Amino acid sequence: MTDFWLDAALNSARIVLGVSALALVIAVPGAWLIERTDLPGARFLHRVFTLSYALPSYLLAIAWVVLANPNVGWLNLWARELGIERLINVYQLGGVIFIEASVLFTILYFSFWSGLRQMDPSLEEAARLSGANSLQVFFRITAPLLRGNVLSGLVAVALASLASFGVPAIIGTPAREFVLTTAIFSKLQEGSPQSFDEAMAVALAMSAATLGLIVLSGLWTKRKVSLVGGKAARPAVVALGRWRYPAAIALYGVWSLMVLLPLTALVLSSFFAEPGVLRWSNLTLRSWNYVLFSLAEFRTALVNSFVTAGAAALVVLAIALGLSVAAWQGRFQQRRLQGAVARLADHGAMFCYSLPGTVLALTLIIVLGRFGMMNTLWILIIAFTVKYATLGIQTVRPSAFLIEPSLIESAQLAGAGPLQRLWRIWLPLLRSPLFAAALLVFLPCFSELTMSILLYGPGTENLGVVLFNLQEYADRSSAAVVGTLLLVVVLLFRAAAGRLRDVD
Amino acid sequence: MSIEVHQLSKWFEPGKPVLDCLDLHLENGELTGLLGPSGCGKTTLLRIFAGLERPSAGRVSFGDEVMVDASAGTFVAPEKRNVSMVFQSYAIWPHMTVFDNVAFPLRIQKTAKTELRQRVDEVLASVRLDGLEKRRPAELSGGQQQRVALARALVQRPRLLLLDEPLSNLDASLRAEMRRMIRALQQEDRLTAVLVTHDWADASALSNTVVVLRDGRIEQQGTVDDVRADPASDFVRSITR
Repeated sequence: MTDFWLDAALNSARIVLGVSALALVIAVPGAWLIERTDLPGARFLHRVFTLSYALPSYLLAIAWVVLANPNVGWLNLWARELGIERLINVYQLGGVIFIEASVLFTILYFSFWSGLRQMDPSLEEAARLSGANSLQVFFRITAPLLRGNVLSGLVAVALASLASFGVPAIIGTPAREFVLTTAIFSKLQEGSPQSFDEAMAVALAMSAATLGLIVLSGLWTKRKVSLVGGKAARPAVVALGRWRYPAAIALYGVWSLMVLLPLTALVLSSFFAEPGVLRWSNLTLRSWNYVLFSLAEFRTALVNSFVTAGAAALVVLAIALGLSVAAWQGRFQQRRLQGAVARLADHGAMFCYSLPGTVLALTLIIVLGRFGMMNTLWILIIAFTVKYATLGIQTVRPSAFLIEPSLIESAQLAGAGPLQRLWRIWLPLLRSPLFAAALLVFLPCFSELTMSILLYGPGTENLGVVLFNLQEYADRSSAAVVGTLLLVVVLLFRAAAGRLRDVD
Repeated sequence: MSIEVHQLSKWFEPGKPVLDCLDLHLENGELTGLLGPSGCGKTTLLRIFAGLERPSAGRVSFGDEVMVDASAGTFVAPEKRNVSMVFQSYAIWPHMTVFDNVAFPLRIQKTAKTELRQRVDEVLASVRLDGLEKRRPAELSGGQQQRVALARALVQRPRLLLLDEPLSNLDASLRAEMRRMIRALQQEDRLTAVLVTHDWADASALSNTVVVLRDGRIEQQGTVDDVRADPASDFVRSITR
């Protein structure tokens, strides 16, 4: 019994370490190559990484099952024709690490990339003029200066990989390799009061670990220095010389293997009847027909996903607006109370975001279960709001701080009351960051799985849950159809959000 | 070491040259002021001297050594030029002490420990920063940071010293003091130096000769006194006032 939890904890530790290490190796050199050198196609790669950031990692897990299932995985079927019995088996801990890292490395990438972007280029240029070559500049100036970015990015990656449920459930569980989140899930499936208590105890330990990591990263990154330069010069581009094409091929290769290949396989597999036979005669729309017109749960789930994600986005929008105004009043109008409330709520929201979804869901079951909210859409909306509020707050607040006090004060002198000021001044001024915040919250909620799988009931399943269950029943081609649809929606919304930011 | 600039052009977008077929000769051991309003190309020219920017056409040589020749494809990397620069933002590394900042170029050259100590101490004394070796940049005033940047630029004994608006962030009294200090140090070592500024007072106090740039072309070149006494155009007159 305790062996079960111990193994799960060890596996979680392995995954956290493995994913962090892999992310470090890809993200830091990748960001440097893209931002500082004459790498061909650097802007395109950056765009592509931006899109990967929004991908639900369980889509990649489902895709890799299509490719590397030991029996009917395409790669294995193709290898068998060449006489190789079994090329690759995705069902193992290494598979979980690889797939998690494929998405999570982008967190570290953005942390390091934005550091490179904000850094005063003359800090590096001065080192070059001192005689240092590119590598010396990187290791003696750039890397030490951006240590804080690397560490906070790594902690975010570690927290996300500790919390992730979809990938270990799809890839690890069939191999009897449990991690903490999937172990909690399987205990809860048993349904006995004792297993619930055990799950709850483990969840508490996980929140303690999360809190520990946050505090630790706070200590590490305390000594952050301002690196923002006075002048907006473009930094001198590092010429890669003969490494130019090898470096580009390596980065494109990594991305193709991690994202392009599995997603292509996922989309293709929804159109083919026999696995791995990519012939015209094998093409079929049967699965699409089934999912779109016969699978009743799919239509319910589609509506539920839109409703819950949309409602959560709207609630977060209101919270973000209110807290931003409060924080603004705290800073510019010396309203101590407003400032304190905003700060407190801000930290609370940030902590809820870092908490593993599994833990958050369990807590909500205990707290909200007694109000008869189980098996309603409300509990999902509340869960999404609590988890993702910080994304909205952090998007809106920096823009609010740019607003001149005189703009608000003149409205006040014109006789506008607090609500009128909110409606007539704040809302229009913050229109675009609020819209961006809503999109940013909508996206992860729309494809949410980790909390939903614990909180859904008959009639309240969303797309993530339906997809997960199809995968469990081994209805892979239907799962591929739902996965493809999800992918399209996520990419469309992400592209819209990106366009929005470009305009501003 | 003299600097030879031949038919130098730079454009970031085709048809909009920032520097337009520049020919220039800068004398060995002199401080030349590059003067002009913002956007005239003076900083770009300075960055081309440093190797931080590559010209679109033309040639730059130090003495008889070609640093960059766009048509021949020759290019000497900035770290190989032994050129140093005082940046407008100072570019003091915040993760290093004053001593480590100044010692950095010597450490890259793998200078022996005793010599390194001695040279750093010497240059810190010459900019009157002795006693502040162990400080972090965040604990220094703007004027002190400025002098760290100057010390770091001088310690490597550069063939060419570049100064990018070094005085623009200082208040009036510090400014006068820094002018004297830079002038004295440059004269002492007979350093070849180039100063970029939009301020005639800085240029005239520091330079032997000035080059007035306008829209990427040379409007006038000559000694400080000549340019002041006989400005070639209303544009130059408006700058020297």
